[in-house]
Amino acid sequence: MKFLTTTALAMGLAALTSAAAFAEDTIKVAIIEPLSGPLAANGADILERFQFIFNRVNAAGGVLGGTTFEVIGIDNGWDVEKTAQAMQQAADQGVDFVINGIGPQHAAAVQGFIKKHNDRNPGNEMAFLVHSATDSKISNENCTFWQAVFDPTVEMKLQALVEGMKAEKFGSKVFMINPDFEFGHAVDEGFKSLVGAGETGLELVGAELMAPFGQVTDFTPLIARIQASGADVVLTGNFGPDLIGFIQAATDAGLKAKFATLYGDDPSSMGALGADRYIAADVMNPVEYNENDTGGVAVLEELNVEYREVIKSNYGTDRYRMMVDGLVAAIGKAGSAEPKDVMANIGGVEIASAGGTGYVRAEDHQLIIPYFVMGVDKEAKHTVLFKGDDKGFGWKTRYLVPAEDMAMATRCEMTDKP
Amino acid sequence: MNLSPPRLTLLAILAVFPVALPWIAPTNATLSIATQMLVWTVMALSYNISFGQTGLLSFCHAVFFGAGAFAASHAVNAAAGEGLLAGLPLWIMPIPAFAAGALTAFIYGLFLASRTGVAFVMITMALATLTVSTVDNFDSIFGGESGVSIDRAFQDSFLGLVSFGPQRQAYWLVLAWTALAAGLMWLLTRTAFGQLAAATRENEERVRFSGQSTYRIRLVAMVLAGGFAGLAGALHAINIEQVSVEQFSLKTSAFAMFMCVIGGARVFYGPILGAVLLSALDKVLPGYTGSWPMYLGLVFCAVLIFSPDGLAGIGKGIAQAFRAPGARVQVLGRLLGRALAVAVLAFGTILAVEMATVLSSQEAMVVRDAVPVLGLSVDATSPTYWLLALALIAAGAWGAKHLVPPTKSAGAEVPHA
Amino acid sequence: MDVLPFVILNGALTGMLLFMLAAGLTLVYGLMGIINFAHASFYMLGAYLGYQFTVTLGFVPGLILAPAVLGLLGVAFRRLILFRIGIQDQVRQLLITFGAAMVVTEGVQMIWGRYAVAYHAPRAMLEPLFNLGGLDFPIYRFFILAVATGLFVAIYGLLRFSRVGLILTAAQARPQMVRAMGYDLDHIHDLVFGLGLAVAGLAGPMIGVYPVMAERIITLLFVVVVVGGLGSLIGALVVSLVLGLIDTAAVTYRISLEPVVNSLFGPQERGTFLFDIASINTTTFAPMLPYLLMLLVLLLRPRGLMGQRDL
Repeated sequence: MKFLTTTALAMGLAALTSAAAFAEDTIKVAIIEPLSGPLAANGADILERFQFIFNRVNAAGGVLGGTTFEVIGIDNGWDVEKTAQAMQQAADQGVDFVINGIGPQHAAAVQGFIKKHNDRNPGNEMAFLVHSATDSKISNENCTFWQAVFDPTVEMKLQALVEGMKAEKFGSKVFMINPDFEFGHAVDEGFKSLVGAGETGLELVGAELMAPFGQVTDFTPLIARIQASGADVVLTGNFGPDLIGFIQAATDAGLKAKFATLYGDDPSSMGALGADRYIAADVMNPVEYNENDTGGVAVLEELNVEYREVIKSNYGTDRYRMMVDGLVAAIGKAGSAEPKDVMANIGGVEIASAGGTGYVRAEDHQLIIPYFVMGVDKEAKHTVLFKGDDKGFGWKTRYLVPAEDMAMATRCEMTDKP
Repeated sequence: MNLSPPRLTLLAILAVFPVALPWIAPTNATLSIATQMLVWTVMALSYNISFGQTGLLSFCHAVFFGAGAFAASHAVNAAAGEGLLAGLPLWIMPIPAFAAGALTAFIYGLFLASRTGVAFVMITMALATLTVSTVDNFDSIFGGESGVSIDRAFQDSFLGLVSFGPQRQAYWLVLAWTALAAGLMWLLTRTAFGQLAAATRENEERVRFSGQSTYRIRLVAMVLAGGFAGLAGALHAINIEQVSVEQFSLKTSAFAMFMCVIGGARVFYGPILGAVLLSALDKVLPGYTGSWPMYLGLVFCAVLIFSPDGLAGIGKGIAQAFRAPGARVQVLGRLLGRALAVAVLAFGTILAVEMATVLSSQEAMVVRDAVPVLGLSVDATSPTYWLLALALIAAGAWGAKHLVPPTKSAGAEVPHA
Repeated sequence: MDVLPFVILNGALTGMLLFMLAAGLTLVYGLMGIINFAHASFYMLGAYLGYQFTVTLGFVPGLILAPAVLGLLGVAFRRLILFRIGIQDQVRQLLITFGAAMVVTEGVQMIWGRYAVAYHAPRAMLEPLFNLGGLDFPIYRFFILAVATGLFVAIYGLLRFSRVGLILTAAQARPQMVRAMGYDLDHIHDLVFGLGLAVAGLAGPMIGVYPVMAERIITLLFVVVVVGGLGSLIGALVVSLVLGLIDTAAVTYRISLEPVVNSLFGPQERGTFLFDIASINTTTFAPMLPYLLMLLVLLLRPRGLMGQRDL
């Protein structure tokens, strides 16, 4: 009797999962991000942003004369194996485009799966759109025809940051702290090679890797070492609890150093630290968009207002819109929404941005756009708002890096063009 | 064993159904879930060798699982390359994985086998935490955050027939190995060693007095458990084609433990029940609710308090009640009453949990007044629904308390120190 | 910069923080034989409650109410749940506290969301108390130190000199005898359990409030309790301080194997086995040390440093 119950249960569950989740005749997009676990906040936020932007496109008539996008979110629980399983789910539901970006390990897992899947299932291919480039290898050695990256690489961001620091005379002695995993290693090595090339005008007085993801709770010894090194700028790729604890400890101890960060613009960090600490740390951060500087682009002015109203958060990140625009443009160019055709046409697509026009480079499907280096501004007109909670301060542009400077060389050689 | 015709048909269905699954439900997602169920079945059964059979609650079991998974992954990558192992077929990989798991269990067992009870648990926790910290450091072997990925279809064909690329082929391979492993583990319970291990769980002093070395018994039990866990690890690697150090964590061991406790640690098929149910829920539920870990925790606590022998115990209790002389109608009535009370309690809890989750979530696009709960649309902001949820919980709890008798299952349930 | 005083100061602060959390756990185990896996989750609940009370009522009311609520919850937990499982069946007790830990942790995340909450100490407390070697030490950290020390003195005094304390200590060694003398152990156990959790509730808001706090710390707390000795408050204090000092020292004096490996084999490339060996340093090693200690203690001296009985 027990066995029978188990069997019945198993069959029932099998039937349940076979049911298709998607409607027919739409372009299916799956967003695979952590919706539970330590990064659930970031994942949920990104899912919401994409849903907002795709809804806008659908409301304006969709693509190819009326075809709409259908977007679902799949949780990977910040676990690489769950990402692989989520891809399996996506594949079975007939997803055309997978979007992912939080965590280099997950992007690598998605890319690995897509390559095997497309190989084993010709005609049913999927394409990968990366919204945050934290893994250098997927853009270089492991690049593939089936992906497009809509975020400057770590090297490009560092280049922008360095140019901003030079232009603003932000400091001269740099102490670098990065989280000890692939992304942190990339920042560490990237910056070291920039300094080594001798064009930064900066001196590296210390470089360390620390245990990531909230494992370090006491930053005081680290602050002591930074002080002893005589650094006047701290460069860090830390994010989330690693950044919050770090800046908190530094400002508490009265450390006389400015902060050049890569993830200082994360709203939850801003909220946890507060305006005073950010100002005390004089945070400088490179990002693709700052709503106090739209460059007069009409759609951005609209989005600034609309997003605030609907989502109760400020529209501080623009690369998701750039990705969707790129996708839509490629579909239009190809005349079809099949991943194969879209990826064949995505190279060369032009993207509007606040700093000027950018484009998707055909060589490696990499987004090349002008980049802003921002600084904290207590008098900002548009302050940072997150889920109805106004942080009381915002960002201003300190330096604008032109697109040509961002177009760094790539080691990508696409060998799998169909 | 009673081999009456109804039982035989039952067993026949159970044997045929898994094999026929790829034709009954051919979607990749279903097969992937089914393969996961098989992997967890082997894992849970292996966990029960140390837990249910020998009475050792271990939090480092996942280490053996991970050891097998990584051994298999490296072996596959080596076989796909040109070195020593080039050309080794995929289907043989669970064997080196078993060896890796068993060896790791042996090394750990040298430390573990000298203690039982709570001391044992603590040592496993310490070992597991140490292992995770250490392997985190060795990116060269364990691949860091990305882990190690493999391509199971690295050989273009096995016997000229299959490459194991498509999910259904991987499923059959895993099914074959699962059947073999489960069969071996079942045989183990029948051997003298199996009986001895069970005796150690019941009364350690007595076994020692009879001249057996309980240290050696526990060590052997751990090695076998570790070996099969390693085997499960290989099957996991074959299914997902991606392994990471996450597999060594306490969470993985805990999940295996949950399967044994909820399924029932005293009977051989208890962990199978637990594995099938929990791994299916773990795959399916997150699509419907964000609070799956909460439900799992609640069910776990409920089982521990009310039915320490797990689902298998409940099933046995029901079967016994029906066999006992007396009014069948009465028995049936009580059974239905209990089932109803539990259902009411469950419904109220789900209502409360889902409403709480939605209310506290901060996404602006989340709809708060039309929350989908079990097919109904519920307004999480309205006090009426909250009162309803609380009333249901109270009613269900009262009913459960008065209709479910206090549990005194035959013999001790879970081992004590 | 004079490093040694810095290491001692910082280490002591970290250690006392750990002690505040472990004190409740060791009391409960030593006197009741219950290993409470859910201790860290209750501490997390206390932290979030403290945050909530601070936001609605103020810092000081928060500091008083959070432990109070948690103490009551502790009594309820013991009566409703732990009671049902015989005191003899230790492993099953462990399991149910494990389940409770999961439920409480998930519950907290369900109610307060999965975001780190912005918990700020009152402005006045963030002023530096003094400056050591160019770094300010805010008053806040010493407030924590003061509270932890006061706690230790209070509990120790309670156990050693009060009537209740004497009964408790006796009940730990000879429970039947104490019952035979007419004392109601049940109420006493309620008191101990509630007190243990209340202390955790006090520690919670002081340390920082974020969703994964419980999982991170529970194993470390077990180390303190086991190595210090079950039920021994002084043992817990000593071990907490030692662990705090070792942790700070290891992170401050960063000694790694890199020079050794590089001199023997030359500089290594990332991703190779030798590179991994070279990158082993005291910072990565320090978190492992407590567990090594626990392992040694469990294998060689199960009663810990100052415990009364074996685990």
